Order: sequence, then C-alpha cells, then structure tokens
Amino acid sequence: MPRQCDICHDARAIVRRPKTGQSICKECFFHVFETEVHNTIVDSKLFKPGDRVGIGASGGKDSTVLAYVMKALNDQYNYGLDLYLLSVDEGISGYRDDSLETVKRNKEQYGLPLLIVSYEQLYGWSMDSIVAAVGRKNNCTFCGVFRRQALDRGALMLDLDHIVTGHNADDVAETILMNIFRGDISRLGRCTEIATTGDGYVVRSKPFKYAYEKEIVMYAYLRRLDYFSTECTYSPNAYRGYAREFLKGLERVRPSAILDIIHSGEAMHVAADVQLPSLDRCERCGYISSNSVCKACVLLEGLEKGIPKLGISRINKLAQDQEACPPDRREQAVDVVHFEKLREEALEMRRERQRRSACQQSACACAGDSV
Amino acid sequence: CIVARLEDVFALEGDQPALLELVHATIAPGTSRDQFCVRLAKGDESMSSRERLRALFAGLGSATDREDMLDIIKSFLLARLARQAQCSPLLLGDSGTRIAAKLVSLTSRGRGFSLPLEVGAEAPFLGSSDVTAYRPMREYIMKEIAFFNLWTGQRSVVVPTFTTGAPEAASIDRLTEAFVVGLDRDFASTVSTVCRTVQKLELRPEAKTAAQCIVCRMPAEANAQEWRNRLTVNVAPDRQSPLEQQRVSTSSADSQPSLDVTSRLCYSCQSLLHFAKPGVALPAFCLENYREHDNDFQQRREDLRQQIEEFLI
Repeated sequence: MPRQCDICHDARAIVRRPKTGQSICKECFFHVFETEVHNTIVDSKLFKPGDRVGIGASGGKDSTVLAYVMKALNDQYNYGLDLYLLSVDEGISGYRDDSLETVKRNKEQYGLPLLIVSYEQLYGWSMDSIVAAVGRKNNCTFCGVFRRQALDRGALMLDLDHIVTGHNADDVAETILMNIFRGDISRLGRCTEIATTGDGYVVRSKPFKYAYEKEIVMYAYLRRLDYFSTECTYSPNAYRGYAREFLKGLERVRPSAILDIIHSGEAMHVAADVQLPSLDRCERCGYISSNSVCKACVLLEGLEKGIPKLGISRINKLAQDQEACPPDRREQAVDVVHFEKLREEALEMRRERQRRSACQQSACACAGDSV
Repeated sequence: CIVARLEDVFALEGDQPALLELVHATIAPGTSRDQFCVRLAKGDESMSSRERLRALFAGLGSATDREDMLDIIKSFLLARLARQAQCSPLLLGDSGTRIAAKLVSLTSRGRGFSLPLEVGAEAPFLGSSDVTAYRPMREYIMKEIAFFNLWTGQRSVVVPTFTTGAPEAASIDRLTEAFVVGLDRDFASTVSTVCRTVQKLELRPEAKTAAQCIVCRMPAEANAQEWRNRLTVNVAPDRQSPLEQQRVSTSSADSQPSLDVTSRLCYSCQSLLHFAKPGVALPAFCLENYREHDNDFQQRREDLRQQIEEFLI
C-alpha cells in the first residue's frame, strides 16, 4: 500500500528524508529544503537588500544547487539581491574544463552573469604546471591557498559585497572533527561561524551550513539540475578523509549526528587566555595574513625559485636541499596585483554605480548616459 | 568502601508520587517538535527497583541512548556517594584515550555546551559546587596503563556495558572509541593533541548561568528546540502553522496534569527522550532536579518581589 507523505498527509511519499527519516513527497521535500535554507539566511541576517552577491560556482552539485536555490529564494522572498556566478579555473586539464562547461550552462539556465578567474591569469601558474614542479603530494595546499585568494580577487573585480559558497553540513561537521583531531584551536573557534569578514571588504558565508550533502544530491536529482560530478584528478588530501569516514559511520548510527556536531561546535568556546594568531596584512600583496608574508606569496616564491617545498617543509631541510641543487628562476609568474589596487578599483566602481543610480533617480540632465 | 547499586536511583520512599513518566514523545511524523511532557506518577508498586531500571533501559530508543543514560546514572550515584562521605576532591581514572574518545563522542551527541564540565581536568562534578572532580590520569594512554598493570601485577576486570563485544556501528560511543584508537595508531600524537585541545576550551558565558537539565544536570541551552525547529522544518507548503498541535489529552485514570519540561532539558537529553517510548519512568533524581530548580526559582522571585514590594499596587 503506497505510503502517505508524513508532512502533508496528502500526496504519496516518494523519498525518505536523510535528515529525519520521514517519508515525504516531492513538493514537501522541496519546500522543507528551501525553507531551511531561507531560515538559515534570515536568522543569521546574512544579506541586506541591494547586496551584490557572488555564488562560488565550481559546476559541482553543491554550487549548482546553491545557484538555483539562491535565485529561487531571492525571487520568492524578495531579498533584493544582485546575483553573480564566480568561478575559478585552476588549470587542471580534463577535470576543470568539463566543470567550467557546466558553469557556463548554468549561466544560461539561471540567467546569471558569470566571471571566471584563472590561476594562470592571476599568478602565472596553473595547477598542471604546479603539479609538474611539486609532485602529487602537497599540491592540494597550493590549490586551496590560491583558490581562496582567487575568489576574493574575483569578488573585488566585480565589486561584490558578499560571496556565498556551497559548503554543506557534512563539510562543516568534518571540519570541526578535523580541527579537534589536529588540535587546531584557533580554527575550531572560527569554523562554525556562518559568515566571516575575512578581508574586511567582502563577506563570505555558507547558506548550506545546515543542509545535508545527501539532501543536496537528492534536490539536484529531483529538480533535474545540471551538474558535474567527478573527483579532482589530483587525489584529495588524506587527513580530511579520516574525518569523512568517521562522519559517514556516525550518520549511519544516528542521522542527526551531523547537526549535533555542528551544534556542539557552535557551543565550543575558546578559553580567554589561549594565544590566537593575530591577523595582519601581507607586505607583498596586501592580502590578509597571520604572518608578514601571506601563504600564497610564500608558495609562489617557492615555485619561482625552484624550491617547491617552501611554505610546506621546515627550513633546515630546505637549506640542505638548496645546497644540493641551486635554485633557478622560472620567470613564469606574473606579478600579482596588489590588493590595495583591487580595492581602490572596486571602490571606484561602487562610486560610479551610486552616482549613476542617484542621477537616474533625480532625473538630472546626465541621467542614463554613461562614461 | 562505599557501594551503591544502579537500581538505587529508583528506590522510592514514602507514598508520594516520586517519578516522572514520559507522556509525549514528539517528532512523530507530522507533529511539530516542541513538546516534552512528563507526568508525575506513583510508580507501579509491584515492580522492584531493579525491574524499573530494566524498564527504563528497555524503553530507550537505541544503544547510544542506553549508554548515555547509564553514564548519567553512574555520575549521579558517584556524586551522591561523594557527598554522603563528605569527600570533596573526587579523583576519576579517565585515561587520555578515554578522555579523547569521550570528547569526540560528546561532540557527536550534541553536548558541546557542557564539554568543559564533562571532560575538563578540573571541574565541579555534575554541576554541584561541593564536589570537584579531577582527572589526573589524562596524560597516560590506555596502552601504557595496561602495561603498567601487567608489570606491577595489578588486577583489573572489564566492566561490560551494553555494547561490549558488539560491532563498531552499534553505538556512537563504540564507533568513536574504535575510531580514536585507530587514528592514534596512524598518527601517534592524536590522543595527546586532542586532550590538550580539551583543556583550551571553556564554558560559554550563557552556560555558567543556564538552568540545569533535569536529567543530566548539565547546563541546558536556552533555545535548543527553536534551533532544531528552524533547521528541521516539518510544515507542509500551504499551511502557515504546524499541522498538528496535538496536546496530549490526559485521559488516563491517574489524572495528574502533564508538565511541559522542554525548556528544562538540554539539547542532547531532548534527543534521548525523543526516541524513548511514552510511559517510560525516569529515575527519581529527575524529579528532585525539577523541584530543586523550582525552589531556587521561587526563592529568587521572592527576593525580587521583596525589593519591589513597595511599588506593587
């Protein structure tokens, strides 16, 4: 006998919800999923009307569903946001080319403007050339550090107020567990924040913080969304894998464990007398950093000088390596654009926009015409 | 040495109703998640304490919940014995491995709010200011202790719990223990790193003044239920209010009104009771905890009232 939906008691149930185990119909699933994201956004007061918001789009399921849901909620609840798709091209042939095609299709499907920034363009090194120089072992560090900066650079180029990324509940729970296992107290205190001011200029947040990965997949499947799902060709970091495996086991024992971990993480509070690194600006590129030179600049220097382990291994070992094979400059990197310059340009764009909208509103003589 | 039995938590004196019985376990599909109602009950006189204890465990939803309840009962009895014997420092033999596993397991159950109290090196035991618990063995990992015992001829036994010998996926505690021990094998300093991290955590300011959960006596978060409701929506698209606001009709012969204790339970105990069968009788200390807070609360209200008495019309 077909089972009735547990929520509306009307339609036939077609899925079992991973978060709660309820058997529900399709419409109710869409409704609860979207409402939970809406609640997350509203409760944390993430946006204000008029915000220019960039959706970090990789073409994967998280970012595709994020783009879809953000657009849907923006329309349904009148957030008043200007949405953009922001994508990073790491230069991994075979993998990134395909996922970028998906992002370009998303641009057409959702009608959102798209900006793609690439490592090649920003730094002069693509992931393929980095892996050729560094090998397969620490390449994820490079990619992660560069991507974070790349997204911020892209956001400034578009003069955005806000970046949203598709990090889901599973990601946040894994991060909490990982930081506990590795004893990273400063990250543990910060990783449950839904929004971070990071640079001080562009806010970064995770509207999917409480959405289960399985539900995101289910949503994409039931809505027939277009996405690309293959693992990165350069194998993923080993340590997160342990936390992931543990989380999968927990989810099987008790599905609510993922939310419970996030709840615990939010409740954890670092003792007042614990030393936390202070945040400063990089002296070379102006990006936010806890040391005098940011990690991206250190890594780039290492690549340039042919010391690929700079920023990853310890110094004494490096000195030995250097004596063994003297460094040769690669002349491959481009000079990174200083963040101050990017911020000034963004401010200029903002002033221009405000001036133009003020002109249009007051119907002065120059209304409508542009520079 | 002083001994208490687990079933002593059900040892009732006198004729008064002394147990809280769970009336309404919510999250039945379709209901909104906001009621935990209990009822004062006299308790079936024909049942011995031991039988009541068994009924309690049988009525809980999963092995994880049973282990959680067992921990709560053991802690309560330890605290009571310590108070009776007037011992203030209470030394607990938790090894580093045990503390690390406990930290992860408590996190996974949603007990982050009370972590420093439950695994801290030095903490008031069970929220009471007269017994302080210390964990001096936290620097040792379990293997070191086992070898020490072996070489110095200490005898020890394995105290079986609900999941001893069961496969890993039997409960959260079991899974966590297996995982932490395995991780420590691959990354040698995991246990000591985790223990050091524990020491750097402290209670949130809200936790220091929060009310105590009536089941586990840990600080109860103020908005646990609302937080859950916002993130686990249970309402159909075209309805504005929750579909079912079924208030439990107290149609039983025992016509004690049911008390809504949702705000008196911490997040994790809400999960625990949510999966329990209705009719499960909670140990006697739950009622004591409920009344104790009420007394405090009444006392504070009385103090406030006296301060503003002259202005009350």
